[in-house]
Amino acid sequence: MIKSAQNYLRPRILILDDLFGRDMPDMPNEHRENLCAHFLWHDATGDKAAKASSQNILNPIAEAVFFRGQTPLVAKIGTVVENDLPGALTKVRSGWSDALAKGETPWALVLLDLCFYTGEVTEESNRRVAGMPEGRFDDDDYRKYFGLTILDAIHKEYPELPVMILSSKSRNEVSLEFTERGAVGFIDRTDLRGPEIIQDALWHHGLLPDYSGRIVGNSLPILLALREARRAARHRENLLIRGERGSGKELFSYYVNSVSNERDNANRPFATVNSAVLSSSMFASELFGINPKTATNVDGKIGLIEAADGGDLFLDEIADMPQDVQAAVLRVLQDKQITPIGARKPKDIDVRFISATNVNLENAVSGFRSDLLDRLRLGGTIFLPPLRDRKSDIPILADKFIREAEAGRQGALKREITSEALDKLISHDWPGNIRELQTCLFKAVNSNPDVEHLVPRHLVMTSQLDKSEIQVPATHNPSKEMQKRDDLVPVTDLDAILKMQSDVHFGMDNINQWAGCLGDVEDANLRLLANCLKASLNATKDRTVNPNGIIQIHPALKLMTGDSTLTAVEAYDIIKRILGPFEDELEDDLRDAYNQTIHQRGKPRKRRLLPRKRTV
Amino acid sequence: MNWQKRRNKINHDDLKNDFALRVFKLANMLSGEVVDAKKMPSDTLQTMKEWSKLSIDIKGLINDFLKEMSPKSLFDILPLSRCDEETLSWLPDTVESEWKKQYAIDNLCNSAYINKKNADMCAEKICEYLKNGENSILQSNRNKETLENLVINFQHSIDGLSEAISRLPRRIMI
Repeated sequence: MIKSAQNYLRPRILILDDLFGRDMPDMPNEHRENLCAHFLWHDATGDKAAKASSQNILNPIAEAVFFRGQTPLVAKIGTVVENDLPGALTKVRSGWSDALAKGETPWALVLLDLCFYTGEVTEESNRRVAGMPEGRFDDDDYRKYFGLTILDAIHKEYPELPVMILSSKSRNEVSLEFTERGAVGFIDRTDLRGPEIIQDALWHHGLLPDYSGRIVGNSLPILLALREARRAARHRENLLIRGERGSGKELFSYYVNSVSNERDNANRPFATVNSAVLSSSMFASELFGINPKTATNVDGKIGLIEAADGGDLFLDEIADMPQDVQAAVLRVLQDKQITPIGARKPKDIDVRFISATNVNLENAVSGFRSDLLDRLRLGGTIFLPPLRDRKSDIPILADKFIREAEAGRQGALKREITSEALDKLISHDWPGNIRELQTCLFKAVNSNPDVEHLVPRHLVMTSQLDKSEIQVPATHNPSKEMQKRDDLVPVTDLDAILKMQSDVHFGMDNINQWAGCLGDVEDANLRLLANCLKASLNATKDRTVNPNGIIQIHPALKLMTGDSTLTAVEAYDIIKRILGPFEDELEDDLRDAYNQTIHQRGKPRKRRLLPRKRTV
Repeated sequence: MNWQKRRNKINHDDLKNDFALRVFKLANMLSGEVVDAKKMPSDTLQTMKEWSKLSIDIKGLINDFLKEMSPKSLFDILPLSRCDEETLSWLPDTVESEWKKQYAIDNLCNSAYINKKNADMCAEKICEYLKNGENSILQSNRNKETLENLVINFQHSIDGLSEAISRLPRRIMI
């Protein structure tokens, strides 16, 4: 069994400093206490000095781990104190590369002192500050500060680790030295802004997980992407998020919105739209809205851009945006105004557009307007790592998805994933990224409701399918056939359909290969359409008047088909064709929609799906 | 100990690393963000009493700056001490005057003196409040608020003082 990865609720920072890092034999390090009280840090060093402290910070902003960077850690009169570069690097490594390898949260930031005093601890030096040596001539020479030596070594070995100088020395005399050596900034130890300056540093330079728990992961690639998102959230320029399908682009856009709100103590709205559904005939009403006084029997509607006014609009899959919609969006970005359908005057809007794509839009073949692309990424581009580049996150992601799947099943057993099953997850490349992992684990939980352990045989990766697995069996054996289908060909998943389409050559020469699969494909396509219908019903639910408590099918079908001229009768007929084959297994909104259709248009003629996996 | 070493000890070790941080802790204890089971705000009285000694050291440091770090002092030693008397009657003062202009020495020294004076006043008033003990501080919100404001003013004064001392040239420059 695996141990869940260690996580912290607050940023962990490492402070390398001779004065504040001193350990004391059975008494607190008063200097350290005062520093923690100033910056509002919880002393998480765990040494004797920390344990002897009676100080309590009520709302600490960080977990601070102190290290002296010298030997010995506890010095008394007569002791000779020497700088300890290997020891300092070992401490850095323990919370950096070692932590990353274990899937633990690494140092968010390292704060480094400049001047480290060495030499013998004399009665006089000990009287001034217990355990501090007299200091040697070179210790205080700004060109020879031991802090700069440590900085050189850290930057050489761990270039991604953010290091800031924390000193009470003059910034001016070392600004070039620390910049050249890769430090990202300088904090004056007695800066009056105290916690505020540390929070700013953590926001801008720190490597912090998403403490809300929505984006799960402690790996370096995801922490770097989160930092980019926080940096981008500081301004109101448009952003572009790039990443493979299933890598969490929408979650990141929401993260940008929520951290902006958190930072500015604001409550800015957030709206989302999939660019693929913005057809030429309906985009204007969806994006710009409809003026209530446009015409008799026309309901007014607030468009998505107005709904996001003052906040963020997430435009997903922008590569699928039709040309005329691109032109309209470009105008909005240029003019910062919209004109709802039927309105006489334009309205000023203040919306940050956060767009997402997995397509190389710079490629001329994409057909995406370069002038629009430039405006959509004016505030920067955030690149999301694929799951194969952040495999150390798989254990905590797996744990999250298993718990979510259990929560969705009443009375489900709480289960553990075995280390063998985890190895199987980690060794897979996950072309469908996190969504594929989630599908795999949900399916494992749902298909195996009465077990306490998830083992390798429970895990079916949709992207593992290849041509050989959808070949027609040589002899027909229904029981074996169903088992094979369950294990290898979950064709009801979108990923599987896409995989089949890309892997299989459609042609007369290999028609026999398809003979047994047509039933599955038809079934999968209808289920996919049923899911689209469900999503459309949900999407239009809150935006249509519903006087009788009856689900509104017509607007949903208009959204789904992209055809605003669709009549109600046509809408009902589409419902019958999509849902008829599944009439006995419908749930919730789809059941309501189907019943309403039957009420209006009568039962459909019985139509059977093609049998699955017929042999030829 | 030369002036640079004295500055390092007084400004860096004593004022910034020790005294200022103790005052910051007092401020955060008064605002309720920091609790210490073994220390009450009134325990800081000892700290504040130490200010008077530190204040004398700081005054001496600022006073000695001109004497030790002015380029005028270079005319007291070889080779400039060999200048003829006529030259020595005007050149050292001219050099010092130019140096003061170039590095805004008078402004920095004045800023240090003003901030020290403010810090002295705040420290005196804070001691007055603290000597009446914990009850007097915590039982009256008005007293607590006044003390908090005094501590904040004190923090600003010692920050300004420290900043001015830090910006004084680190070596004798012409």
